[in-house]
Amino acid sequence: MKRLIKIAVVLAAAALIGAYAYRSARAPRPPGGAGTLTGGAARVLQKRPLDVDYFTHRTIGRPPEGLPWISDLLITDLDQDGLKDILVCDGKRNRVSWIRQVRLGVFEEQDIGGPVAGPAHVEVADLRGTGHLDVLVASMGVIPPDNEKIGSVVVLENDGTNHFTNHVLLDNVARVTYVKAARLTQSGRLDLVVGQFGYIEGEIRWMENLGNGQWKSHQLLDLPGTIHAPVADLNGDGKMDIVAIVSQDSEEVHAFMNDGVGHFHDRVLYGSTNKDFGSSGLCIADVNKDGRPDIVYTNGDGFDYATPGSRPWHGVQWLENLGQGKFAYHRVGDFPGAFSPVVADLKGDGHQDIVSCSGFNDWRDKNAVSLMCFENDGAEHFTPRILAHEPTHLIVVKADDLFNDGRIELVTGAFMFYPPYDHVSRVTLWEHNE
Amino acid sequence: MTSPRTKSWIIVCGACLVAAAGLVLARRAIAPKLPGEPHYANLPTAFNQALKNARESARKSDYDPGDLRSLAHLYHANRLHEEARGCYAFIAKGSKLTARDHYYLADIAQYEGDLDLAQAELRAVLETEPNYIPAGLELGDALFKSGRADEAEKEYAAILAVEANQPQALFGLARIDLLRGNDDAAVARLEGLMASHPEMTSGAGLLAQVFDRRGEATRAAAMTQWSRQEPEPVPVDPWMDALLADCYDVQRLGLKFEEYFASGQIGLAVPLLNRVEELDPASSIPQLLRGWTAARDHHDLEAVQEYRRALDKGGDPEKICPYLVQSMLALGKVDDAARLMAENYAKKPDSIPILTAYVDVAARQGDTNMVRVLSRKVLEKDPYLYSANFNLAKALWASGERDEAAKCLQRITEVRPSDLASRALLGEYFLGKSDPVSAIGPLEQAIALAGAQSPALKTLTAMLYAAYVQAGNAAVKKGQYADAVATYFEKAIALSPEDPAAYAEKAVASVQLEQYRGAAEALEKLASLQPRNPTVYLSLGDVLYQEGNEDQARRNWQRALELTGGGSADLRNAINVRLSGRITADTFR
Repeated sequence: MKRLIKIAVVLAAAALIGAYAYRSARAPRPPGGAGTLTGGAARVLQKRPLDVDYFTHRTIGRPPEGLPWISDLLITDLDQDGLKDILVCDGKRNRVSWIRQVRLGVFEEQDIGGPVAGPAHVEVADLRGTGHLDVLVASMGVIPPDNEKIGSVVVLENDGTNHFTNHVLLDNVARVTYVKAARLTQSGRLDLVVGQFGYIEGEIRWMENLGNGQWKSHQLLDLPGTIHAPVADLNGDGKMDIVAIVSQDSEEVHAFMNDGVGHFHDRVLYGSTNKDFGSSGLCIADVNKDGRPDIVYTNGDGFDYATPGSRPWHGVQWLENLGQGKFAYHRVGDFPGAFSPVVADLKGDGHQDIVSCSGFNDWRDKNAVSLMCFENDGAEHFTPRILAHEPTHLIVVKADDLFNDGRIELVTGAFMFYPPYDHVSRVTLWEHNE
Repeated sequence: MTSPRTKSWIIVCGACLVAAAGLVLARRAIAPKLPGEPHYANLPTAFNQALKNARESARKSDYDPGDLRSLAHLYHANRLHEEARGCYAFIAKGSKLTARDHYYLADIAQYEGDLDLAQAELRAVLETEPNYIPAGLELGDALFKSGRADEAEKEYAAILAVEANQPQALFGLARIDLLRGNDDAAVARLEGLMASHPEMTSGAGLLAQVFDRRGEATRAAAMTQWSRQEPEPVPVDPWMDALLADCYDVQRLGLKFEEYFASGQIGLAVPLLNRVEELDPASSIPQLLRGWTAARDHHDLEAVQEYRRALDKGGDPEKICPYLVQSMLALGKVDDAARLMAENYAKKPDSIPILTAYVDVAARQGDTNMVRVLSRKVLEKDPYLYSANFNLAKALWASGERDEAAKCLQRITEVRPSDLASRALLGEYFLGKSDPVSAIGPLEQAIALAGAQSPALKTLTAMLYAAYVQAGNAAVKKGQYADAVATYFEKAIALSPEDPAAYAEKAVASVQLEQYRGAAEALEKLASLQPRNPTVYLSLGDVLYQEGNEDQARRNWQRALELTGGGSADLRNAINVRLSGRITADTFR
């Protein structure tokens, strides 16, 4: 009998061990890197969380009339009165307008210059050395897909009294989506970088400023699909290089390395092998604060799909500049319809967050996100924080300290391209929710 | 009472039962755990059933690699990448991964943006299956997109050794040539590509751009034309296509359909719709997409049937009706279309897509009143919608309500910088309103848009000329002579140098400005156009006289007298007064 009891006890012990092992195997594991997250959380607990209540929003400038197509925005102090204004590309009305901050927090909108067909991008520069900011506009001709040579580069010349006159610098070319003034040579003059999305054909060129209003074009790339082509000194040699995001079938990020005397060497920094990747925007910023400019870009374009809308691979990524010409790809996060990446320290915690908006989400789903912040824990681990579900169809977001109070506000533009049109907006200011 | 012996047996039996249960649990704990979850609530029931079967098969066969692969394919095809990768890791513990396993792992790595890992996996594929061209192409592309053009070049070249003239490899090599600035090599390569694969429209597009950059306009135009044919076929990839058999993700199937549809590979596209329908019988998407496919091939009857089915299945009328209406109108079923839109308008009176589609139907019916009502409603919601402005302008113009029509036309000129018709009509409208100054802007734009070969150019030019001259005359009446000359008459002359009207008007205004040289030049040109007109010579003489050139003035008066002959006595008298030297301050008034 004792033997039987002994056997029973051993078997029971085995059963208990087995049950424990089974439970252990099924138990959820703590997430890795918890210590780091706790450290980050401790710092940010002093601030309000980044969520849908972080900002409150209001329309600035004209109220929406119909279904606006705001294709680009720029926060800049155009009249140099110490208050930041907003320049607006209105793709529906084919106008560039100026939402002027007339008093702190008070905005008034006016069209500037004459009509510009399909304005897609706006920048400012004192192009003529007058001491006044001229407005550079990339003109697509028409914003929906078109392969005709209907693009142009237009400068709205500022006469110093806030009166602007159109002057065409380049026309009858593949649709122009980007223009930026920069000193690309040692001439001391501002040259131009011009991105031409085109459609089947397109290109990137730089326009050498020969002085006296004379320009000479130099082609850099023969591919269509350029969206943005900003400049930065990528390798620290004191010369401005050009970084371009090229969508269409290429879906590549190119760097045109500048030798300072008008020669650029084309390098492919990264590319997606998914032809429908949907590259949609690029900005340059020092994300990890190591002194080197990094590249942040989004893929969320839905213009050219037979069924407009999001795709599961849409999102945000950054290319970390490792120095010596090396870049490392990091996915920041998924975000359907992601557009217009912008880097800003939203919470003032010293970490560079990434903000993006969605132009092509499934707007029939009330939970679809239109404005997102990928919060940086300081070690470039990004956590998605939903800032807004509406207004919808946001194709551009810009960030800056609009009220000179050390805090970052956002401004968004809506491009109402496909239904539903339940949350229509035009230009929206996102202020801190006190 | 139970005997001690019985108690002992009960304890032993109980312990045995507990032990048996424990052993089962222990075996499960020790046994390998299949990757992933047994159920995914966000995926269709059919997927979860397939998953259950696949997991059971794997367990029953004691984790046979074949069964694990089936499970991996199921995960991969439905974008459960981590789970698929887990399956391959499981397989790798006991056996060697196949080329196809590595290929699928490469696909997952590429999806996640890890090009280094993708390259490693693709190299593993090519070690055992060097002739699987899709893998070579993927590797070439992944290397190129990682900035490793030299290595990409080797991979593309290796493909050409297997299949000479492989189109994607040739295209990849041409891009490398261009990256290196070797235009001639790129052009030769692309021309070879177009010769062997005329369907490669991307090659034609790239070649067009290169020719354009090199200033070879004719060759560029030819290639542009070529590039506008149907998009090139999707490259074949049997291994990836096989995965679609395991795909229960309706969106993924829909996207693949779209890819085939866009490239005109309808035979490959349609079966995907059948599968979508199988997976989600309640979905209206297959019918909508079938409708598109049929409409694209001008099979409108079939398209209408499919769109109707989509509506019957509860599909969104805002998405479906605009397409359905176009197919109905193409079939001439205007009344049916009107009934359909009336029903949907009653349900969704504020929907812009429904209203817009309804306007198209009303316009086709010739129901201008309905067009007006509906278009106005659309424009209340979106004042800058081209089609509504166009339809309303047309209806208003036809009924003579041109002031209202002009407002729509004005908006069209704002939203459509390239719309010629609205600008021409606006010009006509302003000329009709005796407002030539307002006519000039739209007409100038219309002429710029028309191009040299346009049949409308002659009419537009005549209208703009008239606008300049009328505007100039109006300025003269107001005493704005300089404006009349510079802003209007000179532009009219530049526009139609052979038309006499503006020369005379310019001369008159120039005399008022005492710009006798300008007046004389205008009249000299007029004289060359009307060499038998005595009045022109009389005026020219007058202007030359006032300029101080008396000899030439007399010669022109003399010529005027000769041409007058037995004509107007008044004219002859006026000339004689001048020739006789009896000129006073009033002579030239």
